[in-house]
Amino acid sequence: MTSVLDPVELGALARRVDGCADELRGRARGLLLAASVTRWQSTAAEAFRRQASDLATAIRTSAVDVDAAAAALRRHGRQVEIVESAIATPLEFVANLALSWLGG
Amino acid sequence: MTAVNPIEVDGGPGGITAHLEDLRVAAAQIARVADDIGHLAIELHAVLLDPALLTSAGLDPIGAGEVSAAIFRATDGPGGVTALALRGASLALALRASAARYEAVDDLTRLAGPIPELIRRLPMAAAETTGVVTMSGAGAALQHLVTRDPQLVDVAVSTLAALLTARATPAAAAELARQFPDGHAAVVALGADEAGDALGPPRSLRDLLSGVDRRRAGQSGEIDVRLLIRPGAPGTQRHVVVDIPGTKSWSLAAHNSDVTSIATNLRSLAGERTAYEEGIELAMRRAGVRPDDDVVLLGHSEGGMVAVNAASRFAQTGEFHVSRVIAVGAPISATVDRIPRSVQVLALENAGDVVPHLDGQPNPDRPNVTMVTLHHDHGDVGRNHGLTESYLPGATDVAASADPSVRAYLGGLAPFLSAATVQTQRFLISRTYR
Repeated sequence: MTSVLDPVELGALARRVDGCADELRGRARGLLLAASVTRWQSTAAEAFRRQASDLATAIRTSAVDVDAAAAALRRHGRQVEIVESAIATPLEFVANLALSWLGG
Repeated sequence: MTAVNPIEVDGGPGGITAHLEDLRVAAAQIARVADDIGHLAIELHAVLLDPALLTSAGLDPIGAGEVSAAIFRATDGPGGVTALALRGASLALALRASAARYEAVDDLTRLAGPIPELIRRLPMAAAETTGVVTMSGAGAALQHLVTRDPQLVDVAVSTLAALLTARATPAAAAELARQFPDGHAAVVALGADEAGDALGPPRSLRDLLSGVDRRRAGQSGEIDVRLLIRPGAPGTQRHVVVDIPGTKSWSLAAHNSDVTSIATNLRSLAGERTAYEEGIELAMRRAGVRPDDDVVLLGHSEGGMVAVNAASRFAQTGEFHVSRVIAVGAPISATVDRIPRSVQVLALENAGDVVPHLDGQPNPDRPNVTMVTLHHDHGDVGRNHGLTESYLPGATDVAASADPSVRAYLGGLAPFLSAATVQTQRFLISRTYR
């Protein structure tokens, strides 16, 4: 019996979202690096580095939210699998009965 | 222990232009980060519309709703990815704007030149000078005034040039130079400097400057090529120092066989090629300097101008690989801009030396030009410009500095200060009119 939806597709979707979270963490590191290499020294420079650091923290926090979205996708995938197998069992029974009637 | 005077450093890798470049590079990197985060927001939106998620909603509507809510919060919520991409772009934009503002202020300072600083200092300088006039006469007073405030010379020279020729100083110098034909170089080998070589290879910036000081004490037009031999396998890159002393003849005669005369000064100030420069090229060839040798051109006063111009031209022709120039007490502001970034320049200027101000403008701030102001005031124009009296002790001050631009320059100079032996060949350059 072929399912209505391949749960593998939802798994792949979850991995895509995981990838986005990892990318965000990488960009947060890149941002901190870009801000740290400047030799600029002044009050404005300190304010800039503080803003860059705040933004990097916000990006890392956002990556945690994206992780949560990937986890929700995985939970959803598992639930879809359970529902699909629950539907599949009675369908298989009816299909086998019909086959026995028709051809024995 | 030798006393060390404080120095001031502008330009070089620690200068404002280098910092502006840092800001621009950082702004570009942050803009890229913001752009990448923007693409991630698009990617997450695409997940929301993925057919697998839409189809699965029929089987688990609550779960699909939770997924949509989680992605929506991560993407479009107040701290979501879309908002962060915008924050990143704003930060990059603010950084670019800061760089532009710094540059504008820097340009303004350069355009204004030394005038605001002079206005601040003039009343004090004038009061001091009046006292000196009373005690020692007008000549001493003028000397006191210009050694106390050499920037007066910047203003005087640029104003005089503008009045005489209605042009900026380098253009005025080029125009005046037409009165003094330059001719061509004739080069005679004077043999080795055995006494100099017996002192051993240079171990410090001061030792390097001592070399040009020895040539200054020689004949008019005398230069040398120092081949520094380091232990190592054959084929190891060789290091060469060319010592170029300054003006010896101030004669106003139109024709003058002394290659250091006013014809060279005026042309060098304007960045033009001179017979002196031609002679250096010929001497380097005769000394066997190869295109792969690492060369420092070290010039005092007029020699510093010639060194900067020669380095620019050698970079174009590729005949010699000049990686460094040391310009000591030289007016190079109009010409150092043309030097390629691959050439690192150290410009030493004594605060009370008027000669570096003869080009009528302050030096530009460039990452490859480290400008060091020394403080050895003797209250005398000649001694303030002198290698022995001012610049040799100044070299000790430079060596003691922790400034990052100075440290970077001296770090690059290290291979020139670690030779096992030195072989110095002397040459005499004169001007001919054939």
